[in-house]
Amino acid sequence: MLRDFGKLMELAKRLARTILLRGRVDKMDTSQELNQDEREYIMRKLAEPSHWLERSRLKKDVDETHAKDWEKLKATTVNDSKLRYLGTVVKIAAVFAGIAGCTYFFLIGNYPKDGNDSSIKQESITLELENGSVEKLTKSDNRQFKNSKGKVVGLQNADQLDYTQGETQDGSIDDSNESKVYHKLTVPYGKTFQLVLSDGTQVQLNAGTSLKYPVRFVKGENREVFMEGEAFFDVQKKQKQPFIVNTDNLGIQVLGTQFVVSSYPEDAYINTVLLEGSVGLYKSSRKRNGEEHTILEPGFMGEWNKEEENISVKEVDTSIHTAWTKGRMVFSHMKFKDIIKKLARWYNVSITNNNAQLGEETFTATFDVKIESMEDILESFKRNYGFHYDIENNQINIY
Amino acid sequence: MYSLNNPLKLKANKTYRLTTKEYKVLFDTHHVSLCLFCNRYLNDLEMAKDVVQEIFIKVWNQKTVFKSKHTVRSYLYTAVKNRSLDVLKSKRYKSKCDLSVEAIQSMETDSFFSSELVLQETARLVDDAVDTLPLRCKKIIKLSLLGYKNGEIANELKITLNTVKAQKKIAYRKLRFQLREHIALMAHIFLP
Repeated sequence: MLRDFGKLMELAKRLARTILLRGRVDKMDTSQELNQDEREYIMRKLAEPSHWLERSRLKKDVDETHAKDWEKLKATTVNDSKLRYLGTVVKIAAVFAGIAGCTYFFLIGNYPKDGNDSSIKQESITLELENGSVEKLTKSDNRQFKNSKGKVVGLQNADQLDYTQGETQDGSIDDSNESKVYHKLTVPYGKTFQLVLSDGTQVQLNAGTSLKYPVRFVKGENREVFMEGEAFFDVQKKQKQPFIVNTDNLGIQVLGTQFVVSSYPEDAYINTVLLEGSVGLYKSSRKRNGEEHTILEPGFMGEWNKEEENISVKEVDTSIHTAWTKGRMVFSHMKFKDIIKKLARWYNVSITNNNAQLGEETFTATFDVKIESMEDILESFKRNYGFHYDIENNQINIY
Repeated sequence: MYSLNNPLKLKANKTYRLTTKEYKVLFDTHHVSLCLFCNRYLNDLEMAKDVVQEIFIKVWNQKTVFKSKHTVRSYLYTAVKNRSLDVLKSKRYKSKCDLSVEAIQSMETDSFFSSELVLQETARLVDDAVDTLPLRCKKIIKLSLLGYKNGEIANELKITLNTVKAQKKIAYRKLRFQLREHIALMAHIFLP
């Protein structure tokens, strides 16, 4: 039988370290792992430049087809198994839909149908215009949004909505009119969206977030927006026009900077994480004078406790809080009950945890939303902490 | 799941299945070395790629359950070896290549397997560490690993001798700093 595989791996590690740090490989003691012949063979190979040259030549060849090979492999494994599973579900669902549809048709055939509308709204990204009408945005669309005078103010380019257009096209003719015009963008669970405001400020909206903003900012006035949920702001610097994010009863005032605000109604805290520049936090019922501000420095997070209405500041790893902008979820020493809230938003599912002990357990983990399914993630947690779960449609129960 | 520093203890002897992400990481980490390893048996890189592909499909379809990171790797290398030997002994291959019985017998030994395994894994770890260096450092270190002297590197890359020395210093400082961590990380990627 084979000798201890782990030992050989350890040896490879030692060899690699020695080579990289210019040590003498031939001085190493390998008597535990190798016999004389093997040792001589390995040492000779490692010392031969031709061994490394040949290897790098072959490696280049494999590297070139690596991505293609993965695609091929994925098609016959991961995708295939998911597809097959999906296929069955769709078939069963189709049968049910068929039966339900017939029943509906025969029993309540001419009943006015309006119950579905709200559920459709829930699932799509929507833009509420100044006249109160709600437009559904599809990620593959390219659309124009015009003001009451027919002038284009916003341009949708796939998953981005851009308001800089109106700003550059003309001077100050409509300033007074458009100053009071607001749009409201709502991103449902399971989706994200990008926004460029008229001053060039970029906002990335996380799942389950809505942001209300003026179609154009007026010169000389504060730039104010209103949000609920979580968003990453990269604010265009304007010395004389502070940018203010209002959320719940917290105001966040900045000049030009990058920061993330997380303010979901179901969370006990509103978190503001600063990457660059400086921001001031204040209770919105108070006047925005200097004394009431809590000033954040880059790399710090301001935690607003909604119930106690106070702010505490602590140093954080900002990459954890911005990971979502790159489609990743990072949990660092986070309680399971808080993790499932985030998972529910990302995957647009509802998760009920019936295991109180598990809820208090802390985890540290990273997931990639584009690669891992909700089930992959549950399996990962399950492996660390034995629990049971079942999935029924969009409802996940954990025991 | 790729844990940063998991506060939970791993339960002894818990087995686990690969998630899609772990499968991708497994492929990214070992695809090249497995192909080169297989090539040591078959001496035909295209055929080696096919064998490795086949093994990866098997890993997924069987939903093979692994006990630890070592069993995953050990499974992959062993499966590639066995499949390679099967290919070598197949009639079709025999008619194409004239391998002596002794040559095949020597490849069947544990010694051959272990030596090639150690060589591949060593080279992989070296490559991975060098790949983390900034571009200029990387070029210099790669040449240095190929046995180039400082002067020859300077000539090859058309830079001054002092630049080579300075860059090497930076490279080794970086390597020393991250090596322990890096290699430890690579090793723990499959330990939840």
